[in-house]
Amino acid sequence: MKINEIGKYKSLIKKITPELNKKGKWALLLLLTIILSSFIVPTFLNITYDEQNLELGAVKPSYEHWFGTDLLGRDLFVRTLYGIKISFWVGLCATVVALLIGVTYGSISGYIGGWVDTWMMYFVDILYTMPFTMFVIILMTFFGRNFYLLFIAIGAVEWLTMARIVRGKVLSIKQQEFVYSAKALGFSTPRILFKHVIPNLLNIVIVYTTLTIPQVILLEAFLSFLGLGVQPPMCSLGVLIREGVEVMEEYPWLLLFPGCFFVFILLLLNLLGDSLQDIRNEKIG
Amino acid sequence: MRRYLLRKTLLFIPILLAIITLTFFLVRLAPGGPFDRDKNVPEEVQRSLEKYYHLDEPLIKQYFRYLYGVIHFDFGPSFRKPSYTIREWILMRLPISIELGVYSLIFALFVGCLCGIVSAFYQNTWVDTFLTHFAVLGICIPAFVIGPVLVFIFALNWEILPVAGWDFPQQKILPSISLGFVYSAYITRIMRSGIIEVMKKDYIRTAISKGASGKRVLLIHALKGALQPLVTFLGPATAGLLTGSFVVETIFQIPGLGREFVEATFNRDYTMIIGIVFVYALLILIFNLIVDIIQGYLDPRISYE
Repeated sequence: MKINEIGKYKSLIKKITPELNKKGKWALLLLLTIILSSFIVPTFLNITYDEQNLELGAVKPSYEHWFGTDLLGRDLFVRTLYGIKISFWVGLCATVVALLIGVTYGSISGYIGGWVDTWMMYFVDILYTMPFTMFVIILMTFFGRNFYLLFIAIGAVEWLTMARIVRGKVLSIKQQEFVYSAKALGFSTPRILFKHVIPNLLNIVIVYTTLTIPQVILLEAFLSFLGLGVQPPMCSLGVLIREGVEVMEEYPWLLLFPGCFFVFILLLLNLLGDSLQDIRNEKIG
Repeated sequence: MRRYLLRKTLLFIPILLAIITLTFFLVRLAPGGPFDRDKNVPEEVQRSLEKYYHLDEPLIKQYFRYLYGVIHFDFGPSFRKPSYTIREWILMRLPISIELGVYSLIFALFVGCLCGIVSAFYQNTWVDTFLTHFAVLGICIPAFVIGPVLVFIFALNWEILPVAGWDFPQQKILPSISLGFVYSAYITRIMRSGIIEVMKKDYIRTAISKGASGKRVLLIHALKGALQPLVTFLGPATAGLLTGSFVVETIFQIPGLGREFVEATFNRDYTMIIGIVFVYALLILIFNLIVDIIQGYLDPRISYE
């Protein structure tokens, strides 16, 4: 079973990567480089992201400090790498939360169909009109700025689109013969749903996961900018940008580096998502 | 049509009720209270404060008292700004936020439509390539990055526009651009692909074979068809503009409702939080309804049943 599954993922990766267009391949390569270096490089450096050097204070980028240092003498290069890591973690974890809710909700709604489906999708439509970011802000201020709460709160906001897309796909899958055969064999509904229907959603889920991650990173940075996201001494790209904005008049590099990396990473993620979506559209069309 | 509108408007009631209920209990069940920060308050003062704001009553009673107020558009007194009621406060601050939102939307629509149309008209030339790339990049530059960068360039370096405030027209330029920037990039993309999609339709071929000029076909015939995806996008975009204003109002020190909301959550100003959430939800609902109506006007095939 295990080996079989690994084989399945391998073939999936093989299926996706050669089909990515040039733009998508470059984006994926650069992204992986940035993510890996944000995990690996800090272990080779003898400074940590929260190591202060008050005597040094804020200095311009130099050979010793590639991106300069902030007011507390913390090395911005290390902090940016750390921020990238945290932003990615939040992005990934919150997306997983959104995935779990969205796929379960969407597939149940699509598979059962009928009035249950109508009402479940109606509920999603209503949720769409709610000012959700406000709820996230309330949650974050009132229930302490907990790192785990952050994932769950953001994930609870971002699942709606996923649910809609999954539901649409399930509607078409359940008309296919293998589902009828499974039914004819007398399998239970949960078994058909989780063993036969959901695995076939993998392709579409991967596309929308890559499109959701930048949204989540953006929302996290937005919250951090308001002082509600990741809390010191930890930092994410959003926190770094906020710190940079406060002192940009005197020390512009403190805004420049985190800001550029933030935009660059979002760009790569969006390019990758676009590229995956292009493949999908080509297959349909 | 009228029945559809009536049904939609009636639906506002349960949705708003759900929003108020959710916000009310979310805010109340959280640890901490609005008067925690005033240290060493004598117990009698604390008690009379709680009595004044009805905080000593059971939660359910408070909830129904609040609901009764909301029906009369009375959101109670502010916990932190004793001299105002929430309604006065919202009526004072909301116009500023709406003004900011409208300016940003105008900027986004103007730039976005212009770039999108030009890009589609000169499809596959260098102009198109440049604009498409600009749009892809623009989507990735949120307000809290573009805002400070604009301030840095125009206000601090060149000193041609003020850094912050909301009193003179010059002060309104940078915030509106910062807030509308991302949406202008989105609209560019939507307009471009919308027009290119429409240009493949039969009725466009008819118009061209009839001998209408390229510009005329694009602006008169294709544009109306291409407006549809744009209008669909405007629904979620408004919600985004409203929440985006939290950041922009903070950066530019604009005394709008968005900044007020963030402050109110920090201060645990219960009534203010619920009041602002209510107003924003109502605004989003109304705007979505308008979008629905415009969509029906643009595409008569959409039925309202």
